[in-house]
Amino acid sequence: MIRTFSSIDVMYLVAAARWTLALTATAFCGSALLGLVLAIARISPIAPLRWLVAAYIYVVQGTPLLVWLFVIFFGLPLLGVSVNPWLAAAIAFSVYGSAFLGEIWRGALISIARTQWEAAASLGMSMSQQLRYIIIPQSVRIAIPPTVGFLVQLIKNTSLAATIGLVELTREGQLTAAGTYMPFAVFTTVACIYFVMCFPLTQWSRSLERKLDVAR
Amino acid sequence: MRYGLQFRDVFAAWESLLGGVYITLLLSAFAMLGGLTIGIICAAARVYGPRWLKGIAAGYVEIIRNTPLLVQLFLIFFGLPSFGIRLDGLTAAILALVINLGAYAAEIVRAGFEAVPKAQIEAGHSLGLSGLQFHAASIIQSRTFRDFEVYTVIGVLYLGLAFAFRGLFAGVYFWVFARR
Repeated sequence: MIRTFSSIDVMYLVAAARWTLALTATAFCGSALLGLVLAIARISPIAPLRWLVAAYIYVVQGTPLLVWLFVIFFGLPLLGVSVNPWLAAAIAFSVYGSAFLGEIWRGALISIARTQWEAAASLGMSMSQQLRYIIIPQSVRIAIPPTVGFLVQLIKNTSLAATIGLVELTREGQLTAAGTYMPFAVFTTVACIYFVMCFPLTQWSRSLERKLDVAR
Repeated sequence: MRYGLQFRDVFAAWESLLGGVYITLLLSAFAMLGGLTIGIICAAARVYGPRWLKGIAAGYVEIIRNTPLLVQLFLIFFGLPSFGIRLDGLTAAILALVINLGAYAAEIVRAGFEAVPKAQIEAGHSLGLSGLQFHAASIIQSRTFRDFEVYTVIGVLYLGLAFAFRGLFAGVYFWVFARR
């Protein structure tokens, strides 16, 4: 028997959005940790390290996220790790996110005037102290709006995890559409839920950008 | 577990992969041309149009930019047949990409109109995802059972394309802006 698309299905879809948010949170943590390391490595005085990280970012940004998802999903079992969509998705999104956050944050770091570094150095601060007490606190303000913007990208891109069978919002939508034969209504609902999650963030990012401009 | 990488079966199917590259380029070309056209129209509507037109253009841009491309694709490919509009995979993909890219392009062009550079990162993202290559991939994969190798090769192909296009656009930029 074909069931109809009813309010209970909408509830299921909203419940599935939890997993979209959980995956986004996991991916963002992984991306942020790795991205911070990459951003700092990109401005380090050691040239080979800079090149290595630049190459990493170039490769990751030059290949689609979906390919990373598949390479890791099918590659992990070769290393003896059991196939787990969650682990594969978390790793793939972290790799992908780190390359973009790394670049965003590098941009924020190098936007701080050279004289700030020199002033800190003249106070006898070491490289790590200069970063920690002088440069990073100032660049955080600049980095926040694009970081929030990237978070929106991340939420939307977690929909790709549906392709490796992780039951988040999009996958739940596919399953519901298959059960009810009402794909248009189902995917419109799914799109609405994504919109409700992303739109406030987009607006927030925009208002932060504006505030920053005014402050300057 | 020991696993020897074997790319031979994958490369034996090079014709399918090449077909996939062709489709990717085709989709990218259509998406860029169509997307840019819609983008310019939308941006013009948002900056110079009457109030109601501004509202429609802004609504379109916000709806598209705050929902995943994959869901838009599903809506067009699986959803539209409910209204009797049946599209084949390629047409649906082109339509979805054009509509999607149009929204991002509208923001870029508008930014150009208003002389405020922004939304560039997002635009880059929107170009990163395209390709019926996976269709070809799934065919090869089911023939070779070498998933990891197949997707590695595809990743390298995309990287090559990205590299080529970055070089191409850098060349165009140099030719148009920097030479004089």
